[in-house]
Amino acid sequence: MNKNQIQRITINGMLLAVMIVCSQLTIPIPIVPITLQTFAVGLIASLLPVWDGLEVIIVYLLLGTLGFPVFANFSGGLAVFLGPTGGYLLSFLVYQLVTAGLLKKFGRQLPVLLAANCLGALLNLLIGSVWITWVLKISFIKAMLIGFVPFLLPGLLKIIVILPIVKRLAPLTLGRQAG
Amino acid sequence: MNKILLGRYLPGSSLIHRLDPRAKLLLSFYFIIIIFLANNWSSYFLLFFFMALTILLAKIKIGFFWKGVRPLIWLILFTVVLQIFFSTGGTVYWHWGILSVTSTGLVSGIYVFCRFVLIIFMSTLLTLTTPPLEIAGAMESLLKPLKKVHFPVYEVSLMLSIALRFVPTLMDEALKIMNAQRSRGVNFDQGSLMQRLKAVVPLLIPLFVSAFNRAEDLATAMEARGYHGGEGRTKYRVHQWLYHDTLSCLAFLALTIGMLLLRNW
Repeated sequence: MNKNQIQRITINGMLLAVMIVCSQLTIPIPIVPITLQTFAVGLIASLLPVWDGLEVIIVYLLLGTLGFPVFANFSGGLAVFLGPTGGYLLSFLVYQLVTAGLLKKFGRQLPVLLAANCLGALLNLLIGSVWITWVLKISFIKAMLIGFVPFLLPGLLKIIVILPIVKRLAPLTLGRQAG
Repeated sequence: MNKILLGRYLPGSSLIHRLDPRAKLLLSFYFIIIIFLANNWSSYFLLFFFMALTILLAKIKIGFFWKGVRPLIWLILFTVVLQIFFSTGGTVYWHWGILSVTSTGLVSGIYVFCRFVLIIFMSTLLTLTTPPLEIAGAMESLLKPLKKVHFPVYEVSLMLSIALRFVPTLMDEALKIMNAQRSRGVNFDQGSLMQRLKAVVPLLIPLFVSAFNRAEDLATAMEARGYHGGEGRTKYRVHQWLYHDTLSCLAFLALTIGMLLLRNW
């Protein structure tokens, strides 16, 4: 194993730790407080190659499933997936696949970054809402009103905030890793 | 804050503590699957009885388990309340617009609550009686068959160990960065939505940069010590499957049979 290969694993491990830390930090916003978890997902999807990011998210979800309190507010365990927020967690995988996949295909210019992140986040919210329909056995329209509409604006603003961070951090990852 | 994440493990020498971590991991998942077999009061009673028995065997005070429930209490209440108000069927007790309280809704609300409590108790039991790195090790050995389909098992378990080791460090770092930025006048909890969101930029950039630097240092250190991947690496603690592991599997088998009988009763 050469150093690049080892470093790929240590970066993934460290970003997994960052993701866990970010899930516990909340920005107090009236009505819907946002954790930095979704910021971390967006950043990982924009910075890491498809499979590395996927590995980070899979292991994050696995840790949570095993009962480590890694989800927001130190919650964890399979119970979280039975709740209304389970779909958002699972669809982080889709976010990662779609966003990192698009970036790989179309390059990393600003418009692509914006579009890829928006698409990823939209799918994330959509799958989360479908999950709500399923968990709470309510109609799709109602679920969309609870789980999709209120998060559209904060979601978009979040992506706008993420973009300059990606620009700043990209040289650190992409210069070191082949991807 | 760090204690919550890693200090969950309570050292002990009870039967549950001594079980092979692989057995504990598998059985606690199996229990969660069985919970979904329950469809009437007697089957939930059996599950709670079984749970109480394992808690007694683990010799851990029930208070620790409620601590596991606490962070999820809003999630649980939210789910239960929605279940009660949006379910239909049975006798209608109260009705207003699309909301209604019915006998079916009440019963399924209580079932959902029981299900949550049981699942949380079981996963709390796992993390209370098994040290985190043992769980990571157990996961590695259980995932080994996946190597055939090129799933990077060693890589994943190494990532897991690195993350468990560095979460407290990075958590400290994040809090330090927040305080440093506050002293420079960044306000995390005032201003418009956009201003508050923007305030995370000077938090996230240093946090990620620090993570990348640590990753590079760690990789250098590992390479210097001759890390060559997981293949052929030996372990200080080797898991052993003993007779009490088989015995606990049999207990779960008995539980399953009991559940299936009660279900059709």
